[in-house]
Amino acid sequence: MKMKSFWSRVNESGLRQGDYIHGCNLPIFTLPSALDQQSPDFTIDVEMKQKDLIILTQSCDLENKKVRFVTLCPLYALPDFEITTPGLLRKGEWEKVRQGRYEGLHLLGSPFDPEDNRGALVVDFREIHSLPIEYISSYAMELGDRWRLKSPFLEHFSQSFARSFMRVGLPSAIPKFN
Amino acid sequence: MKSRNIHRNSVLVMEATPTTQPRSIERETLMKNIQEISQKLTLTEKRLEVISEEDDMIYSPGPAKLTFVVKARYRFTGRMEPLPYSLDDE
Repeated sequence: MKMKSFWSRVNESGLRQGDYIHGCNLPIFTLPSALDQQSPDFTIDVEMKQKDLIILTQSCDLENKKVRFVTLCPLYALPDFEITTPGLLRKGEWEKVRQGRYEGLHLLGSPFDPEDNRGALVVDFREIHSLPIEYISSYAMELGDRWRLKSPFLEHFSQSFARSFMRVGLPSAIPKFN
Repeated sequence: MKSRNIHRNSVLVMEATPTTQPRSIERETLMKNIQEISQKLTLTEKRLEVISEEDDMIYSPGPAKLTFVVKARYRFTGRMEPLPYSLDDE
């Protein structure tokens, strides 16, 4: 049986939860602590880093203009993520990620071939960005076609983020039953 | 049978007070307190009615405490690397 596709292709200015914003420029500010409005000639250096991002803000909030900023998380191709976390190259590690055993990581099927697990994408919920809605919206239009996560993969993704965000660490736990 | 001043959609109902009952200081105090509570609850009820009449709540963002402009110089520094992940046995 052929696997269902995770993604659909869209080309519209309206943003939705699960929109894949490819190659978005992300400003990284390093602000001096003594910054104040009294020195108008002061210039700060802003590093522009490029990232692939996925929208986490609820679609209804985006549609009804209830938010000014869009919440996004980065997503990576598996080989790119392995560069900074080489331990994932060990056998069985990506399987643990697939099973949701690593907090903050979530796998999404490949947009091109859902049966190719090496073509999957990993979302990192540990890094949350917030960017103005107009910025993301106009950039999305510049992109032309973009991928949008389909239901029920979208709800599964959203639930995974909620689980990661609401988790509670306890100072002690009931001992294991052996 | 007791008569009631019933307001439509009201959760608060005042019962008519029989006048034949003997008067006392305690009773006077009690009646005064009931009157005060009743007035406060009626006000709250009116406020709640106004809120429920607004079909669509509009969320307005709060104003910034201070706004000022800072000149920025942007440098494009390529793709941002993923954050390293600490695996189980690392």
